[in-house]
Amino acid sequence: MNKVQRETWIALLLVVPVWAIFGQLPVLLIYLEGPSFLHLFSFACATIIGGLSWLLLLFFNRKWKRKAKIEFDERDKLILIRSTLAGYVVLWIYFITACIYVWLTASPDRSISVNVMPIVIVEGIAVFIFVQSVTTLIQYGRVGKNVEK
Amino acid sequence: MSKSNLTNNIRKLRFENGQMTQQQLADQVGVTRQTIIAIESGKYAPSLPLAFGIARTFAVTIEQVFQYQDDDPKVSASDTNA
Repeated sequence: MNKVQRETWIALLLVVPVWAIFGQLPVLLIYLEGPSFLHLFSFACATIIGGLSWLLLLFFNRKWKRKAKIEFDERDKLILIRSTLAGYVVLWIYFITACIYVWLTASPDRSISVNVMPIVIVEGIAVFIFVQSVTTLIQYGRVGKNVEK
Repeated sequence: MSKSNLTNNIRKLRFENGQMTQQQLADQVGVTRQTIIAIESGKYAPSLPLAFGIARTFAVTIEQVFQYQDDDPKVSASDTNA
């Protein structure tokens, strides 16, 4: 497993859940119980941790530093370009779907809840990271029979 | 990373060059071991600079390392005639 794969697994197992669950839970609580300091503080903490979780990668990379001289090459770059493109396409479709859904559920002369905005944005980021991570891992594929110990 | 028509003799050349490991080759050409594995198994077609780098490591020509098999014989024939 190389550096990009390690970072992808961390993103998939840690970053996406932080965004998707802890970013949305306070919004749901605000929707159900109304805004309070605790709810807003929870939302701020979750989104700050989620947004700055790439700092975790620096920590893990330092901890798991390997002997290999090269940890990133042209194939890794190509895989990252493709997976970012896939993430962008899905993110764009997600935003369009979210807009259409809001228009269909709320007629033009009505207003929508202010909770919709953080849900759409935070879930959009989670969707992007999830798709990017999954497509990255798919492109790396399984380690084949040509591996030498 | 789909399979291409590109075949290679990297594995054979490695063993002919003092049982060179995938890691040693990767270090010499400046890529990860996974990329060498992917190239050997035909899952990844390397860039021209990398292909030349591999060929130079074994001190052979690029054609001795990589072979391209075209699906369309007409294209190959016209290319040869030209």
